[in-house]
Amino acid sequence: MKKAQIRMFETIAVLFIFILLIGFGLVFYSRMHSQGMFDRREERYEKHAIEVAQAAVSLPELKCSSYNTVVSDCIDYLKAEAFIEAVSQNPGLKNEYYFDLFGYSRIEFREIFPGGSVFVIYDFVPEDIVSRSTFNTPMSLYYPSRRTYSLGMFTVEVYEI
Amino acid sequence: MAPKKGVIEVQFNWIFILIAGALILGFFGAVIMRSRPIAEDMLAEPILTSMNAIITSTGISTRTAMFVEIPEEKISFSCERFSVGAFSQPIPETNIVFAPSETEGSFLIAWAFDFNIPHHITNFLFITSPDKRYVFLDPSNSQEVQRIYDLIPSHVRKQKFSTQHFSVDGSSETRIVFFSSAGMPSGIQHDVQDGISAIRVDTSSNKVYFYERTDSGIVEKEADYFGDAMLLGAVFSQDFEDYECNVRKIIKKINVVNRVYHRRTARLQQAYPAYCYYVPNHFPHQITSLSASLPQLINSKNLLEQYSRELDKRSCPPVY
Amino acid sequence: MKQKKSQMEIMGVAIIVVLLILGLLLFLRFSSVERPATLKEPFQRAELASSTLNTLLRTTTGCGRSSVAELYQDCVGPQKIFCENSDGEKISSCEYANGFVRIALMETIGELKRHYDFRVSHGSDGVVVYQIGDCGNFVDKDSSRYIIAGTEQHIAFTLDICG
Repeated sequence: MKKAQIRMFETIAVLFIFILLIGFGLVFYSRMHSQGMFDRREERYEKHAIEVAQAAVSLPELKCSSYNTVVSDCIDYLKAEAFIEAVSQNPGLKNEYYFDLFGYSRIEFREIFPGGSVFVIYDFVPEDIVSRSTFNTPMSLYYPSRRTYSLGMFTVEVYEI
Repeated sequence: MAPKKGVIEVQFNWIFILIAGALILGFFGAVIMRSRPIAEDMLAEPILTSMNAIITSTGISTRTAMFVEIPEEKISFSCERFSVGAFSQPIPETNIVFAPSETEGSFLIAWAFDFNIPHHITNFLFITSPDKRYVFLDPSNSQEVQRIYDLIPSHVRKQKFSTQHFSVDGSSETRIVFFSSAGMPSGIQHDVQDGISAIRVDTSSNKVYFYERTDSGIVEKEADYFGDAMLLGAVFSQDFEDYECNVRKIIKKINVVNRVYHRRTARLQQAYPAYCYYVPNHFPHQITSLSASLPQLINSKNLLEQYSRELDKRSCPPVY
Repeated sequence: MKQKKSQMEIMGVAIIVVLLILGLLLFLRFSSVERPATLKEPFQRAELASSTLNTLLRTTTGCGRSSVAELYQDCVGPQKIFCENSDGEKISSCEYANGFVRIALMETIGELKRHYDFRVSHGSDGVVVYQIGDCGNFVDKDSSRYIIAGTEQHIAFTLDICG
């Protein structure tokens, strides 16, 4: 009887340890998996900031052009002014039309030379922000009426809710 | 008498092993079954990301075909969304995409085409796959049709015939594009079925006709186009509804861009002397339908092209 | 004998458990290490170099509405353009352009806390007209180069963003 009991206890001990090992394995796997998912999510938001910036500067409504020849890294001041006015007068443009493209983000141009003006081209900042990703690049602002290029910084900030 | 204790013990042992083994196998089997759809969804995620980048045209130069490698997953497109498996993403209203309803295979062909009137409005994105065939039929063998045909990249499976008869073998999905103002031959209409679609293009009136088979026979649906980009859009669109949906997006984009140019031109008009002839009304921005506004758009395009040459001669800043 | 056999079995299982726990601890240790720079970093650096140079050279300065590129063309060429500095003194196009570039780079790339090297050279010998920066011994860098025609020889502008 005692021998059988010992045998049973041995078997139960082995099973217990086996289940413990399985449990550790599951914890490993889920930890690795969630870490991987978190990294992918972060990478996606960084990519999104770059995509929003590229989409904004390539919009015909903003970019500099001369008879359809594109001037890279440049925003036309008169177009930007008209764009900002159109978006402010028509909430549907901001809340739906351009939201599809830019999402929760803030796009601004800060002039460095000659002046120090700041133009907020698009602004849809959510109330609850989990994280943000920022993309900065120098850019020209072209004044067609004077035919001059000023120097500034183009900033895109993308928000995660 | 042989002891019976050992016999019973062995049997119990085996029963115990069987139950434990079944439980363990069942447990792992359940884990595998539950993680399989998760793995499939994880496969969809990078496809969605790369398709999204392509659709927002961040990675495509215009008029250059790009091969997009995709895993062997079915991708479905509509005017407003695209989906991979159970996951779908919206196509932004600012983006015009002409794509087949479904593609399957290891790669897609994507190319962007600029839409100018004459100022740049947007880029259209055309998506197709190597198994889709595009057949141009041009009985008059005109240079205009050849020019349009040459706009399509050579990687796209295309053919051109100077005839109005064409026998379809049905081995691959085919879109027949027939150029004529006189009507679609009944032979081609008869060929329209699942996997074979046809459109007729009348370049003299800027009209395109979609032919669809219904229960009551072949139905002809008329639409307008403006410029090469929209004509190619008709060639690559799924059907009349898909084309019209994209036309609505195009009209909205024209209005938005023209509104900006309208105001910009007004400012230039104030800043420069009268010999720099700036006319804000050359940028109509309250278009509601293409058919109603087509003459106005064509007229504005011609005027803008004419005046831009004059502005250039007078050293005035470009109007667009 | 049987007792020793089962003891050996339990010992074996215990050793496996200990090894697995050690493995788990090692994994937890290494999984909490900070990830290296993501894809945004190298892309931003390359993009930053090219857009900064592009933007800088076309900027209209306060010296007779000449652009930075035009000032350097005059600097390595006829030297007919004279500018005024902030004190109202007359200075050459070279001096003005160098000062402008120094401040512009400080307020753009410098504000982003990036290291850079900017160099203007002309001719096939690459005679350096102006150089500024602090890339030093940084190995990781992305460069952008822009060449324009001078009156006699070409002028090359190079901007390295490093780190």
